[in-house]
Amino acid sequence: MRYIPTFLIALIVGLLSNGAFGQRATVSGYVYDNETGETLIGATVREHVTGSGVQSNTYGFYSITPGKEKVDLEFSYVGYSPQRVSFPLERDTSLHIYLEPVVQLKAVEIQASRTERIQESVQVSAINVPIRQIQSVPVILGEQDVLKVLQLLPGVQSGSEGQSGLFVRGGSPDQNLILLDGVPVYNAYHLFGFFSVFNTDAIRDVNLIKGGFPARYGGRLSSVVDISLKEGNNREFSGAASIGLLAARATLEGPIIKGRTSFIFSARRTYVDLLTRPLIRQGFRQDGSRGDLGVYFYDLNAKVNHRIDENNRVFLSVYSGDDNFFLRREDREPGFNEIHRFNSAIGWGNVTAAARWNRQWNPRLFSNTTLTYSRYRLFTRIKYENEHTVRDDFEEISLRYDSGIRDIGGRIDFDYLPDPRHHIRFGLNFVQHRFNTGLFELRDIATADDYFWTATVGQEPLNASEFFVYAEDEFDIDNRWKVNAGLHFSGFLVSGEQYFSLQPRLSGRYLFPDSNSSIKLAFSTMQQNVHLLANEGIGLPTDLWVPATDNILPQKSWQVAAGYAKEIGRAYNLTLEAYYKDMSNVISYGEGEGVFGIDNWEDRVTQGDGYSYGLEFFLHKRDGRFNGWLGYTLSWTYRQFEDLNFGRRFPFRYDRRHDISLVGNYKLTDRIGLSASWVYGTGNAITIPESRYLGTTDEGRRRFYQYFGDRNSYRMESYHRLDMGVNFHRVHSNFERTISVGAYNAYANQNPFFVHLDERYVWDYSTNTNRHETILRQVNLFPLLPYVTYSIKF
Amino acid sequence: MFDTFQKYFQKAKGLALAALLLGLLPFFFTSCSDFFEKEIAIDPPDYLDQLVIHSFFDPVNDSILNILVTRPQEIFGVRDLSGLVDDAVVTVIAGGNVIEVNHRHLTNINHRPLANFYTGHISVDPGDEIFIRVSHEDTQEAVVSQVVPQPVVPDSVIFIERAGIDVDGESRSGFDIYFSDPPEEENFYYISGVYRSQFSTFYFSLESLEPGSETYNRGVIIRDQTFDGEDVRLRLLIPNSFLNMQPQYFELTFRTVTRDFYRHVQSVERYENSIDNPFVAPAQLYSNVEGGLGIFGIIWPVLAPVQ
Repeated sequence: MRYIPTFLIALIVGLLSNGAFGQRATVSGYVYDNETGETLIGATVREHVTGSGVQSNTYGFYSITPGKEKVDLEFSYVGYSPQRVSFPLERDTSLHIYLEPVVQLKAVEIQASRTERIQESVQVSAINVPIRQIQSVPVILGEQDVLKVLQLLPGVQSGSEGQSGLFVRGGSPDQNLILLDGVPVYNAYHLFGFFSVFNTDAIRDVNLIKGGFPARYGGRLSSVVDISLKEGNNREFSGAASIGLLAARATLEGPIIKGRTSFIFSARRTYVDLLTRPLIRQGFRQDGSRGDLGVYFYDLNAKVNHRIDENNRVFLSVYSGDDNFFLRREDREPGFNEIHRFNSAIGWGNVTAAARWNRQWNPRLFSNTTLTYSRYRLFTRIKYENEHTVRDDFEEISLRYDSGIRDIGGRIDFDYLPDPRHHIRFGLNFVQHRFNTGLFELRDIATADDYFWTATVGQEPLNASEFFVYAEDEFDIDNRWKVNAGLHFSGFLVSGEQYFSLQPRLSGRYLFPDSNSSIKLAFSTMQQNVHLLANEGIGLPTDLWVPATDNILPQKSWQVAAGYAKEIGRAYNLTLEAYYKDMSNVISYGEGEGVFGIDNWEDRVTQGDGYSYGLEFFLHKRDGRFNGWLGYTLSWTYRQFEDLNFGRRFPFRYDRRHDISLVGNYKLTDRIGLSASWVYGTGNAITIPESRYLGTTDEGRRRFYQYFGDRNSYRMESYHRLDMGVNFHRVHSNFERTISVGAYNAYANQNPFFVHLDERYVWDYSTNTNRHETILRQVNLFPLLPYVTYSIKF
Repeated sequence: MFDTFQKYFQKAKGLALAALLLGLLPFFFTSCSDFFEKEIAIDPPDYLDQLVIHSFFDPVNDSILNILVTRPQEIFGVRDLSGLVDDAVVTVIAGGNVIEVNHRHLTNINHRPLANFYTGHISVDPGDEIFIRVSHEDTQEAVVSQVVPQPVVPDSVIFIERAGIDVDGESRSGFDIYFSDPPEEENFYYISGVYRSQFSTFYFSLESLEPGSETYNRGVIIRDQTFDGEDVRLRLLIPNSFLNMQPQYFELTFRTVTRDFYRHVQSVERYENSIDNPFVAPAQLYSNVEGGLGIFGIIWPVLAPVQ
């Protein structure tokens, strides 16, 4: 054991000194967009002499060690003109590449996207959707939504109608690690889950991983949604603004110090409350009082990045978003010299912040150090005041409720590329969580009686510490075989309990001799130390994050995935994948329990197992005049809890046998683009009573009881919907405008939101009596919803 | 052909936009009418035709054991009393003795408790087993049994004027019930209360802050999980509307109940909470009937006057 510190010191010194793996010269640097000066994620660097290649990382950094005296490098990225550079390589060389965008009408043509050929990547079960493709897909009320587009991908299912929650390969929404610039976002939804918090104007890259998780990710069972914000144009000022039926948005970016420091600021806000405020206030006045009522949400994104020198860059990014419902009312009673005031508000929102330092230690070693802050909170304020204007006394009764989670953390990640065959990543992460599982504060003050009373009900905030360390190596065994092997070790310490977990991760790829297709295989284990107490149907703000405790254990899973990837004519990517995922200690409300219970949360939940398996088909055309995809998922998902359904296994509510999505964007002319998406899904599994029987209570009263039979043994009607949109573009001298019109649920299908039993009376003419009849009713949410959005770019 | 279409579209784009908007609006408005809820028909679920037994026996106040026998019926359609079974063969063995059982059928179904019950007079002591078997030629036999619980008698019940506060911060009165829980066995209790003055009678709700206690039908059910074998002081709160009532008019009923009774009423509370509530997981009623559905539970009540 005593040799370990010595070994680690030697390893670090060796890495930093750039001498551990021989004396071959290395070419390293950043790949930039020449128009904006932003780095390009996932740009391909191919060395033509040896045939080897690498990708730029999340920060645009690349490093390649060809092992030859002359190099012939080609840098490429979809939507950009490739650059080829050849030169004699005598020593380590720093080479920054600025790729020139191909001049096209951006809003229609799909430009910026990664160019790693799908069959060459070792990563299985990962999808990168170009941001411009995300912006083109027609969505509800025209409000572009990253998460809603991810729902259209195979293996990802939506929950209830209109919701942004993701159910990935049989997992629950809490099992998705949603990262915004590397910081977890705990509640990614606005307006009860109908919209996500991500403003697409500020997003640069979205990457979804459903399985075969690399060792650098951890903490959730089902998926990683890694969203990177734009860095800001460091060449010139530019911006965008739009107004739709729901919200208005604006984005401004530009250089602070040209070529070195840039910023981006983006804001979005709903405005219905502002438009209706005069009417609402008038309504209160007509009622003889003063008051206000409203609902709104907003998002703010800001990011600054500064290039200190060739080897050091720093970033600071902040996100803040809130939803607010409020009601204020004031009534005056002149005759009694009294003023009654009622103020109530419910709000929820996230704040995330990341301070990041990128350093290139030497041509082969790159590090990213990040300090993170993330906070989600839900608050309720209700206050009633009664003021006597003559006696100068008042009474106040108030209630405050707060819940949420706050993380403060730091992580450091290293990329080490000793030669083109190895890409080694290692790092560590530490997070201090603070869980507020719900605290009521009640107060009663009456100055006339000199009375003061206050009480606090609920659990005090709970602290927990979580860390992980990881190491992975993505290496070429030969020209055909490539492997990513890694280990992820995590620990969670809460209230004297310690949960440690060693999670092996392994992915492999075999490239067929035609170089156009490959087979892939991956195995990964995951552990999740935090749980979300949530309603399965809709994303309520009351959803509560809670830690694993001595009673409620961490969730665990293992998953194996196998896939076939083929590039068809350089335009189409085809993937076929099969997976099996096994989960344990998944959480569910107990029978008769729900999100609105007031008991201790640990008493309201139960833990059990789950498993899911299926096949996924994905045909993706990323760019071109016509682009889009066809996705199909055939899957089975089950749960089994000792305390539910008599211990028998049952289908998960979102066990969806068939799930189809068809997305298409077509550039009709330079000025007109068409887009459409069609989805079909097997109906959700639900529980309805099988029968009823007459019984008695212990007091002798007769009553009918329902017998439920097996849980989730019935299906709602299948879901299908067509969304359509048309974008009209026009380029003016100094700006470009787009008018988007379209419709959600274009053929107004009555898609089920939920079903319920209902009673109605039937007059029986034979007996002249009224009889109860039980029927089943389906509640539908969204009819055809047209939208129109006006947007400009300058 | 495509080029022609594109040219035409370019020329007519303004018209196309207007036509699109105008075309969508009627769809929107027509789609709204009766859109949001509709009656749907699904294939009636298959269900197992089995016997349902309901019986709650109180050996203190009534020596008659009433057994209601019914059958499940389809969930959809008209709800009626066709599920009553009046031609079953019911066998009751109490304390080792076979009891004579009669079926009482009264047309007035509101006439409780004898309407449509199978009844038998029995006399049992704590520790005796009561066994019920119901047979019918159409379906499988259903059996259920219970052991009469050893009753626990409270030592005293003390009225406490200021026993606690509720979540609204209001002061609440309550009671302290003192009793000894029998050791090394699971015991279950069901406590309810009534206020009887010379003018009126009110049933009031009780609430306990004791861990493991739950409310049921205005009363409290509790198991001895946290106080097995101990001398117990159980504090129960009553609504603040009873704050200034006279203590001597309060009357508590302290019931020792069987484990199955406890589990059943516990499930009834959750069942009631889940019915027609899409935000709550469905709850199944607990049954202790082998080969069928329903419940047979025994309650041993003791009247506990308040001091």
